[in-house]
Amino acid sequence: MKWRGGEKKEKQRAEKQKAKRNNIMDRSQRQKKINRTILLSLLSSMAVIFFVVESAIPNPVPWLRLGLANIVVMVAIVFYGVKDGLLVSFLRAMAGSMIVGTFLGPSFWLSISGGLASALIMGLLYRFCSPFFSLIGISIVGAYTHSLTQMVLVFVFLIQRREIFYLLPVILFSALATGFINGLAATFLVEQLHRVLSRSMHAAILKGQGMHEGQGL
Amino acid sequence: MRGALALAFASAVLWLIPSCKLPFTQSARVYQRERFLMGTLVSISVVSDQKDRAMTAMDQAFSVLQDIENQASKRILTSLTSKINRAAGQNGIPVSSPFLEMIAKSLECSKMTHGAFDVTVGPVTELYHFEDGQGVLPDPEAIRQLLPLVDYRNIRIDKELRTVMLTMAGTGIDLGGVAKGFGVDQAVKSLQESGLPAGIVNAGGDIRLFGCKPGQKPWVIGIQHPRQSDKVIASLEITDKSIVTSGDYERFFIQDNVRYHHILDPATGLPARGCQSVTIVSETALFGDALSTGVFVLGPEKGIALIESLPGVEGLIIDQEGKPTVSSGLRSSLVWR
Amino acid sequence: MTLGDKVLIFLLILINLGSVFFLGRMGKSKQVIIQVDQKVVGIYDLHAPAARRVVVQGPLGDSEVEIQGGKVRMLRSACPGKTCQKAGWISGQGQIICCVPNKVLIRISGDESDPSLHLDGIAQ
Repeated sequence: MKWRGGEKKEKQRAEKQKAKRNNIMDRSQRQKKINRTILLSLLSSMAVIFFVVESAIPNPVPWLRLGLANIVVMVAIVFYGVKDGLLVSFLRAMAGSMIVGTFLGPSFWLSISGGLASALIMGLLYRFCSPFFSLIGISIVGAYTHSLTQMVLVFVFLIQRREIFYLLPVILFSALATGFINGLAATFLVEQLHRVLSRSMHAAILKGQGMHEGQGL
Repeated sequence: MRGALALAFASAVLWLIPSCKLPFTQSARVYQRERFLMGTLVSISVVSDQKDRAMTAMDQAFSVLQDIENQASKRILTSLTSKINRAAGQNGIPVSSPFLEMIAKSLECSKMTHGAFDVTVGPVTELYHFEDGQGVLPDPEAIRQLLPLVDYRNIRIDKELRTVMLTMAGTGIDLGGVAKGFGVDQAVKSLQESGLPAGIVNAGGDIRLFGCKPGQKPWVIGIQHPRQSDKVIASLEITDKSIVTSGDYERFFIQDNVRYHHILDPATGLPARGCQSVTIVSETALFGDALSTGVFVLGPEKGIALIESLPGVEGLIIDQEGKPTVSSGLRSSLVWR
Repeated sequence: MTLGDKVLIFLLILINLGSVFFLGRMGKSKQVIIQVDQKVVGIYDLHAPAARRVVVQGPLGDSEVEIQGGKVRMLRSACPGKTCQKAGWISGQGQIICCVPNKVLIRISGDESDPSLHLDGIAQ
């Protein structure tokens, strides 16, 4: 009986230790989750701001945009993957159009479908062709996807006239330019964020279990 | 820093891009449908911002045209026209009120042109067999025998009882062109009742339009060159009007270097000489169709005098030598090609 | 920038330039649309280098359409009147040849880049 009791105690102790370790794991996991939530919401709001500011700038051709929000979508993809890239893109279209006042209008549908299509393509490219294409290449492909999706939708649903394809060269060249520039910006932003994040992560590890919610990013 | 510079560069690039303009906000566009009706190709174009609305309205207009064809075609044995022709010299036939209106309007036009336009010329036209194949020059004796039957005054209409009667046995009416014009008018009415802002109904060259094209631009209509089938002789911008051309090039055959065409002079039973084509711009296509035929028969001098005497009616006459005469109100708006 | 990026950008520039070329061609192209009783049975390039004969089936029989050197005509038709054959060649945008008895419609579309040539209808 005695050894049995000893075994039981041993077992209990082991479980306690396990639980403690689990608890720590839980905490750091939770912390990661919180970090993710915070970063994503920051990214989304950045995307919305870009979207709104861009809407205020008059542009020569209706669906020609800088697509600055794509920078942020790319950052989300780099840090958290396709799904979160889509999420940021979705939130950008929803919140942005509500602010601008185009919610559920034709330009809303254009922006949400263009945004989701390009986020999806960029996400998949990043996952599967990442070392081959840098963020610049991925961003360019994203810009092309965005513009072409919108153009096709405009043709199918809004103006069924072949004349809109006369804009094709303009749209394609500007997609190349904006895609390139957004790619540069995204590379830069990702580098900076990595530095900030790794510093705060490092701090979090140093602080160990004593870290409180909301500290660090 | 690099990002900011890049962004500045990007915006500069975008601003330099040529500012192509598109009517993006304007989703109203022109929808077009064709059908073979009334012995010709009928094409309807409408302006609408909703496709299904345009389609329903056009279907409705086509069915209006189909109804009129069923009532007016002499090729359809059950049509009112066939019934009236069969009962010639015997009794009146009760007709629908649109049909009565159509007959009454063509009689008005016959009076106006002193019989140069006459729907009772039908039996003589049949002698030429324009409809089936090559066409034949009829025996002058046959024409002479039929001519006494050609008189619009043989048509009696009773507005109270809504009946139409031909008072002389053997007289026949052929509403061909008039029915086309009337159908166009009714189709336009139907489109307008569907609430569409603008459209064109074109039944084999009998055109009536209402409203403006998207972008508030007027419709542009060409006038067929009477001798070169692939050319228009002139064009004009019009709206809320009808434009109809009658020409000797529509149905004809050439025998011994003489062109025998389908616009017959009711007085002689022979193809009217003097014009190659007559274009009438007026309120209704029915009137335009009847008047263009009447003016064609009257010839250039009497014709242009008649056009000038009628308010709200303009016209272009191409005479036998191909020389155009334009009525005063049309001179400034006609663009020669 | 990776090698992949550079290749991608190079290819896209080629595609973009190609689109300019393609659109230049599209502006000029006119198409022949052949319909039989409301149904489009064929669309052909009016300026196709080789002459072309198309046979379509109408309610009365075959109609043969000839497209050659930027113009089109009804070569042969099963209709009694042969008005469509007499109409001869057409070449301008918006022009039509129609064979009412056989319900065949030949129409030239496209070339809408020049609105001054556009007609909404022809009174004939």
